[in-house]
Parts: sequence; C-alpha cells; structure tokens
Amino acid sequence: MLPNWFIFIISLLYLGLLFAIAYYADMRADQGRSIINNPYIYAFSLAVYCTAWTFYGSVGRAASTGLGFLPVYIGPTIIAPLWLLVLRKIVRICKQQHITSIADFISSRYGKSPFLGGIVAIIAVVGIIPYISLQLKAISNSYGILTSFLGSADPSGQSLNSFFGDTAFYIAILLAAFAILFGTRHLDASERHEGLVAAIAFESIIKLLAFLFVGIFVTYFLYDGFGDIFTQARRLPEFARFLTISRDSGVDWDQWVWITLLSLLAVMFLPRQFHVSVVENVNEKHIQKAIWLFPLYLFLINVFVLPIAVAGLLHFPGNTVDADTFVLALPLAEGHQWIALFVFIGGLSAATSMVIVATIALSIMVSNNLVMPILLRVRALQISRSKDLTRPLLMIRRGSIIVLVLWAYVYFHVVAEYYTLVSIGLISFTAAAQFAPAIIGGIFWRGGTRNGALAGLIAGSLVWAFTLPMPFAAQAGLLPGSIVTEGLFGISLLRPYSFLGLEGLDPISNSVFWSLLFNTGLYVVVSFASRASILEHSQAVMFIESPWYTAREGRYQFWRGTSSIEVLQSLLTRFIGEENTKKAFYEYARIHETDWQQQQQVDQEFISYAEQLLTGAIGAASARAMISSVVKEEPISVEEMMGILNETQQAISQKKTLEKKSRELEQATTELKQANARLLELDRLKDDFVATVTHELRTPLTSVRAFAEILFDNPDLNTDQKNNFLNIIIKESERLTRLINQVLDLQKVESKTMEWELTDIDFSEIVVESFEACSQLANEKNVTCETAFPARIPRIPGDRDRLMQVMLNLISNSIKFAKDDSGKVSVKIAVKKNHLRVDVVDNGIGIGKKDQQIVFEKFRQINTPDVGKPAGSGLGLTIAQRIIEYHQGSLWVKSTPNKGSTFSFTLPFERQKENALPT
Amino acid sequence: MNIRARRLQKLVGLFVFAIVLFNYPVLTIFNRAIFVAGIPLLFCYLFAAWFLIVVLLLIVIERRSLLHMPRNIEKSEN
Repeated sequence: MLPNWFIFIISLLYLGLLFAIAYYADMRADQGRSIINNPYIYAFSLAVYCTAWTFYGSVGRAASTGLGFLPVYIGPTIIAPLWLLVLRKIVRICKQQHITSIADFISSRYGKSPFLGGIVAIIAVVGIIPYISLQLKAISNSYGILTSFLGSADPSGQSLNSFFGDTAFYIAILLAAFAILFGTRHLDASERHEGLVAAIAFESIIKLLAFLFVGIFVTYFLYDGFGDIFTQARRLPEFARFLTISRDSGVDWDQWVWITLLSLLAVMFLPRQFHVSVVENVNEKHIQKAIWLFPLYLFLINVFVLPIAVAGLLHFPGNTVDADTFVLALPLAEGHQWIALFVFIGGLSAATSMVIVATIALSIMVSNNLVMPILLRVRALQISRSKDLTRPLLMIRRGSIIVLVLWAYVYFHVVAEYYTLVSIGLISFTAAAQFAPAIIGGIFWRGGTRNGALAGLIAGSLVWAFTLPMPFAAQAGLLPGSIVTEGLFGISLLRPYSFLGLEGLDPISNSVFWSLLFNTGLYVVVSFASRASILEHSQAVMFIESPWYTAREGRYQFWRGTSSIEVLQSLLTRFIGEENTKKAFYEYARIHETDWQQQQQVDQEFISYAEQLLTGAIGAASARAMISSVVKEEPISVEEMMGILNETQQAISQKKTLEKKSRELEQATTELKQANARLLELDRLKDDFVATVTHELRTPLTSVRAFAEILFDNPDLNTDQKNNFLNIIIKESERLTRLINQVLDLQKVESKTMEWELTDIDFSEIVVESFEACSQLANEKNVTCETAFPARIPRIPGDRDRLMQVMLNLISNSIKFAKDDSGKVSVKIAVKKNHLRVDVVDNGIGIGKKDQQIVFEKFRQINTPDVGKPAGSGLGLTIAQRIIEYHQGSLWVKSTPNKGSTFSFTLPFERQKENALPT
Repeated sequence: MNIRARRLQKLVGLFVFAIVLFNYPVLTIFNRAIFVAGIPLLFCYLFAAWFLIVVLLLIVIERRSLLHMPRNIEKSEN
C-alpha cells in the first residue's frame, strides 16, 4: 500500500511541475517566442471541458445509466462544426473590443450596461461554485480511495480522514496560488496568460493518457477485449441497461435529447470554456483544427468508459464500491498500485485544470463586473482621487480568487458531499446555458435589447434556481422537503420537478426546458417591446457586423466628444500604469502616423481607443463610466445616428459588392491569361508546323534536284545507273506528293472543310483489305498477321476511305516497328455496348511512357538511338486521330518498352448530332 | 463560388448530419439488444458514428492539405 505522505508528496510534485511549465511558458512569452501559438495546444486547452466529472463521474454514470453518460460529449461534437460560424465571430468581437469575460461580453453588447454585467457575474458565480467544489470533492475522494482502499490502509483510518481533509485544503490553496501567479500577471485581462494555457494543455494530455492507460489495462489485461467484457457481463442483473436506451436503463429519449442540447450550449458558454476558447485564443485560425481535434479528444476519452464501468460491476458486486471510483478501485483491487497512482495523477490534472481556469474566469467577472462598478459608484470621490489604482485592482482580482476557492471548499464540506459528481455538474451546465440566448441573439439579431437580455437572464436563472438547486437544498435538509413533494406554498403547479404541471420529465430535462423557454421567450418578447439606446444600437452594429470592421474602423463615432491628452493620460495611468499607457499611446501614434505629444485636443477616435484599453482592465461598463466622467461628450441625436448607421450599412454593402466584383475580376483575369497562353502556344505550334513542313519538303526536293542535275550533267551514264537515279527521283517525288497530300488532308480536317462520305460500313472488311494492302510490307519484314473478330459485327456509320486510311496507317506502323524476324501484328475487334473497339497489337520495341502522349503530335517521330529516325512524315497518327475524332470515337496507345504497343480506338454505332460534338 | 463559403456550408451540413445521427429517431434503429462481435449494437453504432463525424470534419477542414498528396490519374477506358 502506498503511504499517505508519499501520495501527498507526489501530488505536490505534480503541482510543482505545473508551476514550472507555466513559468517557462510565461518566460518564453516575455521573450516573444510563444509556445502556445499552435492549434494543437489550443485544442488541448479546450479539453479543460473534461473535468473530474469526466474522469471519475462518467464511469459512475455509465454504471447506473449505461450509455446515459454519452450525451454530455456528443453535444460538443455536434456543435463543433459550427465553430467557424459562431465561435470565430465571438473571438473577433472580443479582440476588437478588449472583452475578457462572458459578463463583459453580454454587458458590452447591450449598451455596456453595468447592471447586466453584474447579473451575469452573479449567475456565473452561483452556478459554477458547486462545480468547482465538485472538483475538490473528486480530489479528496480519489485521495481517500488511494490511501484506504478496502480498509487495507493503516489502523488509524479515522485520523487519516481528518488529516486528509486538510490535504484537500492545501491543494485548494495551492491552486489558488497558481491562479494568482499565472492568472493575474497583467492588469489588462485581455492580455493572454500563456503560462496558464500551457499548463492546462499539459494537464489535458496527462488526463487523456491516464484514462486511456487504465482503459487499456482493464479492457485488455484484466479482460480479453471489448467482446470478452460484454460477454462476461451477461451474468450481471443490470446487464440490460448497457444494451439500449430505455426508461428502465435510467436514461430515456427526453433526457438524451435535453442533455445533448444542454452540453452543446455549455461547451461554449461555461465561463471556463469561454475563457480558454475566446479570451486565450492566440489566432482565430486555430479554431479550424480544434473543430476536428476536440471531438477526437472526446471520442478517445470516452471509448473505455463503459467497459470500465462493466468491469467494475463485475469485480465489486452488490454496490460495495462507489462506481465513481472504479477507475482507481480496479487497479488497486488487482494489486497494481502504480497504475492507480498514475490514474490518480490523471484525475488530479482533470480536477485542478478546471479549478484553475474557472476561478480565473470568475475572478475577472467578480472584479470587473461586480466589485469595480460598486466601488466606482459608492465611493466615487475616493476612487477618482487616488493616484494609482493598478495595485488595488490586482488585489481585488487576487482576493476574489482566494474567496472563490475557499467558498468552493466550504461548499464541498457542507453540501457537495451528498451528491454524485454528474448531478452537480449538470446543474452548473444548466446555469451556463442561460447565457446562450443573450449571446447568440446578441451576435446575430440586431433587435435584441438590454431590457430583453435582462428579463431573459433573470427569468431563466430564477427558474433554474427553483427547479434545480432548491430541491437539492431541500434534500440536503436546508429547506423543508414539502417544497419538492407538494410545491412552493403548497401550490402543486410550483413543484420544482414538475414545474407548471409538466409531468414525466426528469429533473434536468425539466429545468433545461423551462429555464431556456422563459429565458428565450422573455428575451425576444421584451426586446420587441423595448427601445434600444443609442449606445445599444451602436454596440449591436459593431457586434453583428464585426467581420466587416477592422479594429480601427470599429471605433467610429456615435459621440462627439473632445478631451485633452493629459486628462486621458492621467486617467489611464491610474488604471493600467504609466508604462503601459505610454506604450499604448505610442502604438496609436505609430498606426495613425501622428505625434500624440504634439496634440492638445484629441478626437473621438482616440477617446474610443482609450476606452478600449480601459475595458481590458476594468470591464466595458466601468470603462464607459470613467471615460464619460472626464470627457465632455454630447451624444448625437437618434436621427443622426440612424444616418450614420445607414451610411455604414451602405459602405458595408458596397464593400461586399466590391469584394465580389474583385473576385470575379480576378477570375476573369486568370481565364484571359490562360486563353492568351493557349493562343501563344498555338501560334508557336503553327510556326513550328510551317518550319517543319518546309524542312520535310526540302529534303526530297533536294535529292530530286541533285539526281536530275547528275543526269543532266552526265549524258553518257550507263543505262543501269540512269535507271537507278531515275528510280530515286520517282520515289522521292512520290514521297513529296504523299507529304503534300497529307498536309492538305490535315489542313482540311483541322479547318473542317474535309468532305466526308458517310455510309454504313462493315469494319471487318476494312481490316481485311488493309492487311491485304500491307501484305507486301509484312512479307518483306517476315511479320505474321492475325485478326480476331466476333461472328457478327454491327455496321457503323463512317467514311470508308478515311477509316481505311486509319487502319492502313496503324497496321503499317505496327509492321514497321514489329520485331524483325518473329514479328507479330494482330487486329482485334470487340463489340461493346454502344461502340466498336479496335485494338492493333504488335510485339515491337514499344513506346516509352513519356513519348506515348507525343506520338499523336504533328511531325513528332520518336528517335530511338538503336533504331534511328523512322520512315514516314510524322503526320499519319495525327491525321488518324483527327479522323477517329470526327467519327466521335477516340484513339489512344498503351505500350511497354521492348514488349510491344497497342493502338486502340473506338467507333460509336450511332452518330450524335453535329452540334452536340465536343469541340 | 468562394472556397471558404463552400467550406462553411459543408460544416453546417455536417452539423445537421450529426444531429440526425445522434438523435431520436435514428438511434432507435440501433436500439436493440443485438451483439456485434460480442459488443452491444448501440455502443458500436454510437462510437462508429462519432468516428465518422470526426473523419468528415477532418476531411472538410484539412481538404486543401490533403489534396497536396500525390495521386495517380489513369486515363479511363471507354
């Protein structure tokens, strides 16, 4: 058995490693060599979605509901394809506006309302604290199992438990320290926390490895694979629940659908998911890879859940061991302490990563959306007088981290001990889902107003509180139990699990349905019924049209305000420090190519820039309040604003049209370029053709003239010699005639002036006649000729003489190139469905792969070193191809060097109409 | 049409496809106590469908980099 202190030391060492990784990543970031600027790290950091709930709770839920654990992971898989549409837009908006949390996002969209931001922050804190405490509970449970499993620990088990309570406390404190060190480094929360992200990604890798490890161990070492586990499981009394989804197995279709919907919202709008996926996003391109990597991660971490659950039930019959701890209990029961230790580390990484990110995300909301607005309001005079607010700001954020972690710790001791991991997790999911209508409506629907969002959020969260946490509190004995059974004030319509008399849904589905219905319904209805302020209008435009604005264009004006540079500088210095302020001003001057130190008055654009800097540090609402306290602003009238909006709208639509036009133009340009290239190529070919023709004509002409001159100069040559020379002259003139005929033929075919005589012909006759015509040549080379026809060949439409020309050309070519002594040429005709297929096969030298394309080109003859330039004009195959093409067939060659070539062509039985011909 | 817009449309299509695959009523087709190589049918189906979605997402997202892989183009015979 592993001693208690040993496990404690290992946990500390693991946390120490996290500190080291985070420290290293931050150091690299300061040097400008980021290690997290990478889509894989981004995808792994998204896996903070998988908490201790996944690591321990999934197996527990699988043991009690079979496949009922899956919808929580299927939901994110379903929504992932839409990330390019939704998540990317949110990321872009947050970068443009320096938004650092969900509360700020919602508050900023609806006119930078401090009240709305505060409400969101409260919902987030109340909803997420139980979830954090759940992680602490998981750490403590796993720790307990590891040290005292099956009572085999030391006799002082009782004292261990009390000591262990302190251990979880220490771990909580260490996590708070981590969050403070790496989550509150900068004042501007819109600066990324690279160390944090690196550590979270590392933890995601560790928990995946640990879970796969124990999964493979259980499935393939304790059992003989998936099939074996399920076969052995047939003897379990609860076996049926692993096979199907049904009411008896503990999860029915309602629950399946509602939890899928719930988790696909939660994966985007849980504060920690929003933090890693939006605020910590380095580059919006990283979202693309995450779209498939993140579902793959979820797939992998879930494959072994059901086998482990089944194996646990087989090993520990009769509920002797809590199913939430099977992953630890199985290796321990088999005596593999080290595997159990690795699993424990995996669970620790799952729990700690969630605690760290969730507390940082919540602390930003608490400080920027709860504490700051209150401080600015209640003690406005003192705040505006104090010279340096950077330190108090950081202290607020750090203090809120400590308070949140301690709160979660206390909650764990008071309430969370009574419930399973999953039930608490789903309560938090439902709370996070309340943000969905305001956010999704906010980025796609311009009509959503502050009042609508406020009404929806408040109604949704009240229904949530009434239908989920309240009955839990009643079950824990904090409230009278009659509320659950008889309803609030004894009104049966107000029973939390059958809200408004809706029977038959389980508590989670019931709550998801009612809370989202009230939330969305009121959001839409109240939005229609209320008017948006000017600021709401302008923010709505900026959010919805975000893809069309660059950061600079985004700061356009709905206010006419002026201020002096000193006032703004001193305001910013108080909140973000002197150095950061100067840096930001220089940056602005660099982009706008102005010298800010020379200016006295600044324009609205500069004021907006300053406001966004402040937003990163203290939230949108407080930033607006601070700016308007130092800037003399007169809001423009509604008419003016609508005018500006229209103009912008026109500008945007013009921009869109322009982009479309330029794309079309680009396409047309490429097409023109290609056409031009084709023309140039044709021109070059024509030149080549003329040059080659001239050359080919001159060769025979030269020899005719040479021999004629010899005859002329030497009248006394003897008859034999004379005849010989005359013979040459005749042959060369014949060659000349043939060449000219071929050139004329080609010209006619290509210019489509050839006259064709189409008749129905029997192609086998053509083949036989061609062989006869070539028999002389074949005999000279000692080549054997064969033919193979089917008994009946349909007649085809064609020009008999031209097709004869093709066959003669192909056969004489084949004979020419066939092997000298054992040469063989065969012609096969095959009848296909709608065409004839003719193959002319020889066993000659063959044609190299490269040359197979060019044999059909004009005057291209293949020069092989050992054979030399073959006889002929080099036009035969070109003409043959043109003739076959005229007959709507095609001609091609297949060949292996030194084995022989096959020239094949097809001839259709029926001619298509002329105009249907491909040109 | 613009390549990016096409990809976006394909992704929306996959979103709808995933909803169909992982939902009532398609799931009821596989909701039977049948075994495939000893493994319950529904379990097999869910993970196979999940893997299919991941592969399709991979293809849609990484299409351009996959296209750069060498391919043999054979002339098709008539």
